Amino acid sequence: MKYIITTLLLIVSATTHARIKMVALPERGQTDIRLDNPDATLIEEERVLTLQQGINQVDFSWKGVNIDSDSIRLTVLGNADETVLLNVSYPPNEQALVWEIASTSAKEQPVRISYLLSYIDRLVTYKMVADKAESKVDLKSYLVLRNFSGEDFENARVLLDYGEAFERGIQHEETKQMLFLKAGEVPVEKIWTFDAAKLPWDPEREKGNVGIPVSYKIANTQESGLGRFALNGGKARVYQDDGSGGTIVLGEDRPGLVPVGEEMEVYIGDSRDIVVTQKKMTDRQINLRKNSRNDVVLYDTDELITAKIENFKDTPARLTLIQHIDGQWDMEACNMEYELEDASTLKFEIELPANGKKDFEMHYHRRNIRP
Amino acid sequence: MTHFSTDQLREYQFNLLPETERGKIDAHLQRCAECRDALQAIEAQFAALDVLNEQPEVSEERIEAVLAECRQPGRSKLLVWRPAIILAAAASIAFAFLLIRPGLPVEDRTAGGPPAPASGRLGEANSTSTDSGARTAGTAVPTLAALRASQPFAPASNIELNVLPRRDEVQLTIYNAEDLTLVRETRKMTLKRGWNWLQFMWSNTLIDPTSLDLRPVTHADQIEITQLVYPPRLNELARWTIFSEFSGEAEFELTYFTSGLKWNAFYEATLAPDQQSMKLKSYVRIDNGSGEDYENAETRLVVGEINIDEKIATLAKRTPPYGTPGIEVLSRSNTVSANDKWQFNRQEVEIEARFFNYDAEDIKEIFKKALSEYQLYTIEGRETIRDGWGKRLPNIEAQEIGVTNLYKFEAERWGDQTIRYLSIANTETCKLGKAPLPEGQVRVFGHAGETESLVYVGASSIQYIPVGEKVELELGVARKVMVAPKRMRTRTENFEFDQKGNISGWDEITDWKIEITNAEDRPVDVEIMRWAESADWKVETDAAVTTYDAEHFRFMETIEPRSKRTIEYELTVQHGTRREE
Amino acid sequence: MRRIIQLLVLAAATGVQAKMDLATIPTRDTVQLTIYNSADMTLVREQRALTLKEGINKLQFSWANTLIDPTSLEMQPKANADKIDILDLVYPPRVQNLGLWNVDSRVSGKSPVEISYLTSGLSWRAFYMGTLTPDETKLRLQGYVRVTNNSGEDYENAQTRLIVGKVHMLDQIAELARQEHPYGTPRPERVAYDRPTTSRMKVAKGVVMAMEDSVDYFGMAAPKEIKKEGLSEYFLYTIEGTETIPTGWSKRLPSFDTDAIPVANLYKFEEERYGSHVRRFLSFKNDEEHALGETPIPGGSMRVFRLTGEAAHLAFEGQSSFKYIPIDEKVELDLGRVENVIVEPKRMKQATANHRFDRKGNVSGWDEIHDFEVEVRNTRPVPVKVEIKRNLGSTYWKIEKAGDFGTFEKDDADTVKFTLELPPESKKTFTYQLTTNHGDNQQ
Repeated sequence: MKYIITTLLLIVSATTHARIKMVALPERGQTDIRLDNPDATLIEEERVLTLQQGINQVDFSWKGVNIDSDSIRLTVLGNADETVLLNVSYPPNEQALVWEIASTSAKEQPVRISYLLSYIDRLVTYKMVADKAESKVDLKSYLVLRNFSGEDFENARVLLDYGEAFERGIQHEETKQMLFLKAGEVPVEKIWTFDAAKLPWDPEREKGNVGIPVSYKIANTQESGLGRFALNGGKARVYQDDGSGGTIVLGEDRPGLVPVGEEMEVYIGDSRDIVVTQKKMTDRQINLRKNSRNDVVLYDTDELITAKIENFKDTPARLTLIQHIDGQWDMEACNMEYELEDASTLKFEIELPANGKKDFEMHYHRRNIRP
Repeated sequence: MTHFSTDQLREYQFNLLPETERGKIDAHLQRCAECRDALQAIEAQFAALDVLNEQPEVSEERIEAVLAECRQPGRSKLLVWRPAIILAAAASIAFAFLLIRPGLPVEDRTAGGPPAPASGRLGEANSTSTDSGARTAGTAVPTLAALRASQPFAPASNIELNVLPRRDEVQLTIYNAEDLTLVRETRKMTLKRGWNWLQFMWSNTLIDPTSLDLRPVTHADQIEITQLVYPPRLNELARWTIFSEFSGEAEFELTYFTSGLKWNAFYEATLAPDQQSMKLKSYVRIDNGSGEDYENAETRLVVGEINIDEKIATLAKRTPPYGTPGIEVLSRSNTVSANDKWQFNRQEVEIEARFFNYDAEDIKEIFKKALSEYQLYTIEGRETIRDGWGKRLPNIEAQEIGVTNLYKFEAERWGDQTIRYLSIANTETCKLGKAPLPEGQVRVFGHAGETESLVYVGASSIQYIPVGEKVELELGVARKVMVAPKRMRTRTENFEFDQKGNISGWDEITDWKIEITNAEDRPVDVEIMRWAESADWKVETDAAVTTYDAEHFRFMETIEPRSKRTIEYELTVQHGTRREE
Repeated sequence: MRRIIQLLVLAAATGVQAKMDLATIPTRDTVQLTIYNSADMTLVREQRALTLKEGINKLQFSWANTLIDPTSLEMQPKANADKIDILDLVYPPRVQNLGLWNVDSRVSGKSPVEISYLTSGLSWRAFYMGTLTPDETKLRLQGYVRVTNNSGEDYENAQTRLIVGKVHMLDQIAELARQEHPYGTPRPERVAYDRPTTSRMKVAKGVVMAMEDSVDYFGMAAPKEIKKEGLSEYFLYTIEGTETIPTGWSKRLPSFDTDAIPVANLYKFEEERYGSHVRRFLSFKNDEEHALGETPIPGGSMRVFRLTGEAAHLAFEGQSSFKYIPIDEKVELDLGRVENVIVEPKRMKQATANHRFDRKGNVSGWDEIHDFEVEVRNTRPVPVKVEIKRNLGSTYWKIEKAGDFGTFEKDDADTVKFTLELPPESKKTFTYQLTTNHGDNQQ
């Protein structure tokens, strides 16, 4: 399917009553497909125009192909002074334009035509295979070229926002998948996260299973064997070596763009071998301040949260426990250390021994609450 | 006028019929519009397989020759595979492989006469290709760099087309939390030095084409898989471009996801007459609705909550495989409702569970292993599960598991009904504890008095039970254990007033009486949860009470057979300024 | 060629309309189009040489299948003004799209007249292409105008002028053009006669691409210049020479081409406006310092490309549109949200303090104290400038800053702005404590 057509019109005398499209088409030369912008794909193609001395009309039409007509640019390669684009005309009800090009002499003029083409893009997918200990992954990233633009590209130079350009042809309605990044033994951190704002506190009272979300984290850094460029967002499928020559699927997620130095987090599934049962044991108003009518105008609270954290696994695990306390607060007592994510988010890293259990207790006051 | 069957027309379409029969259909088609339409429908259906339409161009004779090979008598293996290879005769259409590689010019090959049926597999070197190896050796051998620089697709006259056998080895890993099965196949293929094409077709199956992954197992350093192409206007077809640095046989592993296979676990529990122990049997059932027969497959089952970004069944239906740019492909399915999950045919299993018996020697063992957050069950040996069939296998059986009966009452959860629970622990002391128990339905049976005859007690669903964890099976409403709380007296006391003389605080005191009736012939343990409706409360009672959380407290009582017990308590809830104390 | 508008000079007979003699069909000698972009309106002025006889001349003007406003028709003699009187303009009954002028002439022979009217269906718009240098510090800005003719009439060799600015119009010219009777009928409002619009959209295939007079066939032609001048509140662009834009066609003409405009790459973050993502802006000023400033820049869309530094190859950076830019005004092109520059503000602590109580013991005043930590990361290989606006939610505030906060300024009563310069692939963190006063504490 070839829809983008460039034709050269000879000088048309004032008496001619039709647009003449020449039969001899200037063949498309070097073609670039630039996929570095996620919003639009830029095509650059080189063609040699056979120009006459004087005014030439070159017809460029794109029937059935979605081109942003204002984006079309014609760049004269070399001899820029001798070949000048005068204006562009758009014929009625046609996906076409006519360039009026002035040339000082009859010659073969190479030009580059650039335009934004719709319905052609690229996706990125990831495949990770974790080792048995889940400490490293073999990471592969595939590039998926999708061309539904209406135009066939026999052989084009494909450019991304990073890495080397490569030659590839792609036909209309064709999808091509190819490997473009391979990194072995990328360190991975496995994390279990219990967020008290997202998960039920008392799993026993729930109908279905309550699982603790499990994620893999890899860093896009040189130390990880990555860090050369930002990792684009896309579907990531995680497998694990099953120890008998095969793999099982651990899960999949769709992380967003990960710039250099940042971490990619892939949520793979839920663990049901770690169980958190959380309760609020005390919730009282204290330190009341009243007005002359004896109404409370300000008060503090006395709150006690307890959680039983059980690990039924044969291996130790580190659970990230997220607790939330809104407003102004003071910690009265807490039996575990935390890091403040922000004013109302507390992050606890809890090391759980194999088949072990830990009790969490957090006693705090919220301050200056107004009824 | 009698018409030809779809099967016959299909064979006609693929040139598989003897000359005489072909003639008959030819003649019939002249007259019969209905059969012409049917034939057209078949053509449309198999448009995807029409390799002639697409590069690499393969001559008609070459296709004929290959298909002729498939029809060679006496090659039982091929005959078995024939339906799958040419996708013609079988009603269930499945996978097919075509290996396209540089070969001899057509005239050379046809001159060599019909290929000798030396090899069991078409993909393996046959006499002609060995010949060609010898012949090319005589002339200058092109360098790898030259081969690599050449177009991956040789001109039409120089193409060798091979239909490959279905598979050598197959392994299924079936998930229960999602409609997902990982299929792993290994197969041997004979590659030519230079560019090779491998075409894979999967019409009428439920595989996710974006999950296709091909990997050389042997000669990995000499084989490069450069791309996977989903060609335009052809559905359910993909092609790999493979560059090989050598000519010869290599083993490949192909993995992909499919939907339509499922498994689940179910349990059968029989309580001992004294209700203090029970026998627990569990089964796994595998069902194949994938559109594909899996023969002699190593079957593995995964227990665990896996996160899936897009449903495999959705991906299997999507054309083109990765969607179309500009059209949103994201269809998040992280939140799977219970209805989306596999529905279990309760009736059927119930009957099966009772009357299905196994011969001890037939029972295959299920090996269990923990992997990441999941449990992997590997079924001993090989299984053949045809499309549309189900299969059931016993999983665990444990005798005399100690159980605890507990009756629970909580007005806010169940109203005035008492719910019976049976608790077991997945521990060695309870004769279990070797592996976590997967979720599934449990049917509990009991004995009618001291007799051997069984009665149905109730059904419950078991959640996943990790090793070491206790689980409570809900057996439904207990009609013979009743709990009736009654409010006996309410009063307010301890008023506090503000400066203007308005009420600023008070206590609300309620006397409660709970009557517990046990009509069973055995003692029962009853757990009564009460809600104070406030965090500022205290309770006074002679009974044993424990604080559950800020607003709940709990009584535990053991009630003798056929008796009643009454507990009384006084609940004080502080309001207003009384809460400050 | 589609020439629908016709002017017939009818013989000045005895006044009996039934006996009309056709005299000549004077063609257009010159035509001038003044196209507005704020309203669907074009002023057409054409000159025709009439051959008049002494006495009453009847001139018939017809315009079927065009989009002209008949009420705007006007004729002016360009010579012998004292000897030629335009008596009246009649819209004859039961004939549509036709006007009849009665002209009393005291001279005979050729006499030039100017006919002017308003038409709809011609339009123009400006659009732009920006090309950044590889280091993103300079911009080549190419302005284009695209003139589209859907008026149903081919205007040949027309002097084309474009008006930038907003005019006030009572009626839509397109509506007036569709009226059955030019001024309507003296009855309650009736529905405008709805002529099928396809008739004017259907365009004859095969039209002449006429050579322009200005083009030198054998020497070197240059793109036409567009002269810009201010007129009242408007700006007038006059395209050099004449243009022929057959109906249905449109034409893109270069308006200006300015190279090496120094531009600033600015990354902005403002949660209330842009959410949690940073947006990239390209800014420059329409002034001399930026190689511009001669004329206002009409609003339009702009596509921004970047030279990749390799054989003049381009990369597409983004698309934005801007409003009319007066001289000396600053332009900020919004190139959309980015993920490679990240700003993460976090509230690390919040408290209330300094409670004040009134005589009744109620809280009458208090302070809210918020500690914020802002992390700014540049993952790009080029240095970036990041502007972070923080909304304080109150006009009574005090800020204590610490860390690498760059320059700090008050943006308005309740907004502050931090501007940071970040080297390639770097990270900066700063904190600030915001105290806001409430109630009596505002005194």
